[in-house]
Amino acid sequence: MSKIHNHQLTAILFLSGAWSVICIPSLYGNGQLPATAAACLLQILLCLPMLALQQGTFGRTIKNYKIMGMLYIIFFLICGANGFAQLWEAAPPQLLPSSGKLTAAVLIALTCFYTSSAGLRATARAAPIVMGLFILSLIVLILGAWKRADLNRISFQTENFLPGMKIYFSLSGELAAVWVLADQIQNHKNTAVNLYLIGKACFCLLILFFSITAGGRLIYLNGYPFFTLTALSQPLQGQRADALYILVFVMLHIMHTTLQTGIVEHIAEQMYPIAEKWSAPVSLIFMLILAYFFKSDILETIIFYSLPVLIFLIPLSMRIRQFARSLHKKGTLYEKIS
Amino acid sequence: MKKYPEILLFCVLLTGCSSETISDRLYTQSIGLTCDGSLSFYAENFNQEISPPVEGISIAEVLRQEEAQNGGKVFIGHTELLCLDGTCTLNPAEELLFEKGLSPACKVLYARPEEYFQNADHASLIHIIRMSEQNGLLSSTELATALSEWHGIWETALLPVQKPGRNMPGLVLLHKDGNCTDLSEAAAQGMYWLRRNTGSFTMTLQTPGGEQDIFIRNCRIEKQAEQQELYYHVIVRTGTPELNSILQNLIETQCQKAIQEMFLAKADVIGMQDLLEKSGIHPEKNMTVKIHLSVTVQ
Repeated sequence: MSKIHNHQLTAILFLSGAWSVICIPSLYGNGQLPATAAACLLQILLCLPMLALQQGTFGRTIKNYKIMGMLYIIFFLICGANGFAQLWEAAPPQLLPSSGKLTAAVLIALTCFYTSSAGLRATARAAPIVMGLFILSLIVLILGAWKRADLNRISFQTENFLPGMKIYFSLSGELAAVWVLADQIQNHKNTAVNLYLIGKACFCLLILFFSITAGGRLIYLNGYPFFTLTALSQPLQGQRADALYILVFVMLHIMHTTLQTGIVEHIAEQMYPIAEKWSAPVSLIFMLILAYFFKSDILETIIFYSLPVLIFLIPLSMRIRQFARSLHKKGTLYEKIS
Repeated sequence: MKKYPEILLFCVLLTGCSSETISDRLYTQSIGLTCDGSLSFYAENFNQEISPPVEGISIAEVLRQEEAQNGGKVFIGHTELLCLDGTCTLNPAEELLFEKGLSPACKVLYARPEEYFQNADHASLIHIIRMSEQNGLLSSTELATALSEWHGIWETALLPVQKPGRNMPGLVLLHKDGNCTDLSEAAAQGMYWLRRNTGSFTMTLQTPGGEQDIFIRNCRIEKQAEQQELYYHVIVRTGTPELNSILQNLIETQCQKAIQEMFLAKADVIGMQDLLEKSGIHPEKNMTVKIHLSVTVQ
């Protein structure tokens, strides 16, 4: 755990966030572009107390307050379950052509079981490689979409600003992972986290931009802008790019689920060292059960309302406590000296 | 060493190898649909072999029947031409694009499939359409563009059509009710300038001194909206300045004709709706829209 590098942290958080972006269920129009940018700025501000905390605060806190650890575990289980629910609801037939959704979900769950058993460090090491593949497919997507892009469809609007912000926030569950993971790296954690936040917002803006300009009215009819865009973005006439999109689609889901599973495992292990061996498979089973019983919109609503508490209020209270303690220490020291 | 079998297995899985051979699949080059009572599906593969039409009540069913008839899985991802008539209109095309993986760049031809699949040479028609689009003779029409127009307020799509006695395809406006409006040759040519930016090509102009070739470097269209008044500015860059005035007159005439015929058909295939929405107006079908056209040839 202690060897996660900055770029690995950025990559793993970004890939998990990218999965949520490709599963954005609907497009509200041009107003979603400024809403996404505003949501990103707000997220950076909300993360400030979390990033200002001392190294190892999260680990110490959950050891002392197990209920808080449980709260985070439940949250990450919901985020993982939301990933499976999104896979179930969003995956278009052309991206899972022969296997079908159920088989795909089972196979992906098995893969996640294997990857999460290797631990978060192994996942973090794999993240930059997946990132390379992701960038390649993004270039292909842009090349295909650029041909169809009509810039006349872009205009500055503030309609549906709040729903746009809500969507972006409810798909940012991995933000809570920032505290757990950033706790483990030594230097430049702020740069890594800011890079991830800006990168995710840029990716989201790029998808929305091409959905509006290249997809036109078709985007509003079908929902799931990213998948409609992949159907429309075939840069080569004699060759289809579906295989690349399938690969990225599956890999992003695996990275997303593995991150959530790995974090649950890490928190459980810190709270109860005995939970090290069985926490990953149990958490995966819980995620699948939750995904089976709840639709993604319910899970996203839970994420939306609990996110500010987990990424802002709790870290802020911790920071205030740390600050108060340091003041108290200084006061005691001053009394002793005088 | 212990990991090698796992890595090897993973690599084998990545190859996508399976027992399925290329002959187990039917790769269609052209497909056709009619909806007279039931849905009829026509297909031609890349060897120019036309299979007998199959009937069913849905796209999924006709594809299943086609598979049973051909003994192979139908793959429409590389289809270059979709043939539709007024019975089906573009209604099934959306399912074919988003659920069955039809290419968005596929050309949609307005024709009766039962006649067309008996007489036409599809491969050469596809090439004729493509080359006509490249050489400035026909406005570019693709499945994705046609569908986007189809779902607009004016519910009309611009499609190529093979006209009797003519080698070159023309254009029609297909309406949601299945009726279609033929565009004159000049209007079809006007659509070429009005619809999108284009690359270079050479065209022949009728001048007082006879026919002369003019090299078009590119054509750019600038659009603007002020309330219900739309401003279209066509900018054409040529390599033969002495013929610019003749070309300018020709483009103006063709564009005016295209706009006139499009208004008569109550259609929008030049992005009027997007422009109106951009300027904050929610367009309605019976809205009066005025287009101001200007052409610059430089």
